[in-house]
Amino acid sequence: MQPTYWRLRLLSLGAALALLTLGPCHAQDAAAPAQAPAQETTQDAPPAAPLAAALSIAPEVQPLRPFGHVIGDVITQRIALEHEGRLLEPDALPELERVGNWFQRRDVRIERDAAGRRWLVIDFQIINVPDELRALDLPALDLATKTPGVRLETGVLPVTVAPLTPTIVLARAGLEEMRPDAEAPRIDTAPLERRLHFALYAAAALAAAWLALYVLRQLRARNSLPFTRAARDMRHLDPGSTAIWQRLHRALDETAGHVVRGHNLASLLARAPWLAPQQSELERFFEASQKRFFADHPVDGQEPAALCARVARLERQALA
Amino acid sequence: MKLRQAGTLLVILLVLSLLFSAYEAYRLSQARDFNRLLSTAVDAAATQDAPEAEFARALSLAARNDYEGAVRAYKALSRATEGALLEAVLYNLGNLHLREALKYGPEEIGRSLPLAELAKTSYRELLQRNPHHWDAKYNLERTLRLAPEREEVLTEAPPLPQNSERAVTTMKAFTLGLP
Repeated sequence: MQPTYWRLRLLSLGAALALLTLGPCHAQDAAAPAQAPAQETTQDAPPAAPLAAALSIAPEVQPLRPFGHVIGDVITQRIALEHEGRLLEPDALPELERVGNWFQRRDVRIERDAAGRRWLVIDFQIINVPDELRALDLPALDLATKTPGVRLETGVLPVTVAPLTPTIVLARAGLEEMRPDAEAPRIDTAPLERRLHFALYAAAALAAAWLALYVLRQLRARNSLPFTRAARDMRHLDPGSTAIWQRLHRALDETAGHVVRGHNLASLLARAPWLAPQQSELERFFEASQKRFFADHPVDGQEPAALCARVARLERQALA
Repeated sequence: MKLRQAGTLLVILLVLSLLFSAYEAYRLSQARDFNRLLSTAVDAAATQDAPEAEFARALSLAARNDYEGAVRAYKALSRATEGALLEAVLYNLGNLHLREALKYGPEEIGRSLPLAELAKTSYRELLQRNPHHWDAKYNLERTLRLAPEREEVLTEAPPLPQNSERAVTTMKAFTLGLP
């Protein structure tokens, strides 16, 4: 009798407890019918047939340093995208978002290593800090793959995270309530100096090139331009000689491309318009030359060498 | 004639390079002036026109306790700068909010908490750009000491109504549903 009595008491106590615990749940369900179906489908309903048949693969995860982390540190997790020779292609990469209370998923990418293996690389940043050194779980991963019914799963990874500062600050040099402001940055003058030096060197090089070109042009002029050559030759001739007159005539003929006299000076000026400023001087020269060579009449006040030098200067300005 | 044209081209290039040299010399002189003023007086340097000068202006506003003005200056600068200067802007902006939050402290948590949240946002944005910024790590941790984000709030709180905000960080050590 005695054992049966205690068995009945225990059974009635259990029934009472069950009523107490189940009662409020039903009441809540009745009060919030709109929320209940969603919860039931996600939590209470039995898994659908395809899910039940889903294959979960736990690929290789490269080991990471599980200790010595502080706030702001980035922990990089590398998950192999192959398992037992089978390639795993995630359907979609995990979202970049805060994951739980401690971590932020800040970058997700797929990389290939030197051996050609593909890895899913996830950067987690520690964005919160516990009051004291503590092991925190790096979140697990459960990703659908492009292969129907195959999921990629990893477990949580414990890492220890410690605070940088004590709860109550020491209030000593450098360890106050907060670190001070960053100072106003100075403008970095090095790039400006580099650009200035470059511009000055370029200017110097250009000036040197221009000077070299100028010298080259003058040398070429001395050897090719008729009046310049004549002026050079005249330095070696007697100023009163006939040869000096003939040399100027030869330069004029060379410039015109034919024999020039006083009557066809216009053709010379048409071919070498830069001679125009010396037109009257040239007319006088031809007149004097006519007298000297054909009337055998000495001419005063006519200096063929000086005229040639002036014309040579015009020639170089125009052609050199 | 070709040599003549080459000579003309060289002269044009020479003039251009001299003009460029003059411009660079002017900029260098401005930069040196700014740096010299910066070492003597931040306010004077802030009168110049350069992102670094804007930064100096924001810094001097903060030093004069003009919180609003300094925030505006740093915000404007954060939209227009890159690299190390942007990092310094984000760090100082976080410091500005944290300093203001610390003025109220945990005693006036209603006023200090929004400021602490702003400080956290700035520090986290900076640490996302540069995870090795130790001063930002230090100050973010100090901000989290002032306004902790406790795990319990995330895991133990009952489900919130739809379209409501989960004010995790604004509920220090408080769990919904407890007496």
